[in-house]
Amino acid sequence: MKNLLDQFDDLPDEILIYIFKKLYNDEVLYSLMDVNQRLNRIVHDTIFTRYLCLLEYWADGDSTYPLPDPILDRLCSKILPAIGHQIESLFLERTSIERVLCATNYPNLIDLGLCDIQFEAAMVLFFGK
Amino acid sequence: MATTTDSSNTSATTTTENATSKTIKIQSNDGETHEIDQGVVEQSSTIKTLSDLMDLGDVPIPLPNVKGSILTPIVEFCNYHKNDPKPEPLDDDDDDDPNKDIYEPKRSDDICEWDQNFIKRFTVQEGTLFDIIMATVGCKTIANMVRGKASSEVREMFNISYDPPGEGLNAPNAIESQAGTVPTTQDTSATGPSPQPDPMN
Repeated sequence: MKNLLDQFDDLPDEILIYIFKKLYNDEVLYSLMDVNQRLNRIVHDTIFTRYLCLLEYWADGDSTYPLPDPILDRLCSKILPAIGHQIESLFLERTSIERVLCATNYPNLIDLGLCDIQFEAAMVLFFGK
Repeated sequence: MATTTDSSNTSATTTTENATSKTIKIQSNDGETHEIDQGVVEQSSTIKTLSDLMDLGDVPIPLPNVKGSILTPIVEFCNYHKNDPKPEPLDDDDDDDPNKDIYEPKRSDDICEWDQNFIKRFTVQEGTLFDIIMATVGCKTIANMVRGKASSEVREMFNISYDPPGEGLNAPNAIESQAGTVPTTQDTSATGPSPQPDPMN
């Protein structure tokens, strides 16, 4: 029987990217960053890092809830510091806004979406009042 | 008037039937040959292009990346789906399109029941899932297997060895010396601690 590693590594980058694009970008980064050097190179492509939506929607589609803690922990401690400079669009949920924004710098961020945040909370977060 | 319309319809029907009844042969890399009709041909851009460009006659189109044991179920899959509505054009190459809806959900749990039963015949253990992935719905199955897994679980699931940063062909230095269009792997030792942001003031 052929070694499984060989089989996975036999898939060309194009096929792996095609597969990974079936997932949301945060799922790609959480599950595949640091698996090995080759996958690291692939998931660092801006296809997967330019746009990040770090929240989930309830079935009604109108309200949001945060990503599970283990995923958010890893995103904030390892992943965002590594790709912060590549992120152009970032969508965050109320309870994780401060944590994600403080995780690293986002020098190329041009589009920030804050979901379910109240005006007073935004004033405190951005202007300290 | 009615006669003319009927004649026209008959002619169109005949033409369609002729197009549908046209068959070509395809051959796997181990010599297995299948005869497929136009409905099946339409589902493979490679085969369709070749059959459009060349008058092959009885010469089978070679498929060097597909072995016979995989080609048979692929033909079965295409025969089952040949009357499906045409899919919308793939958007894989338009990542830079400013009009692209970036909020569009990426579904991988929408495999129909027939396809789910079809894909059960192929397994990671036997290696056949990786063969079929080159051609059919296996991509979605792999994506579902990865979803929600930690990187260590992905490594274990696919028996991938961890290659430490800075070593081997995929090391950052090796990658940077290549084309350089794709961002390189993070070298945590070189990156150092990230500075805290100055939140918009």
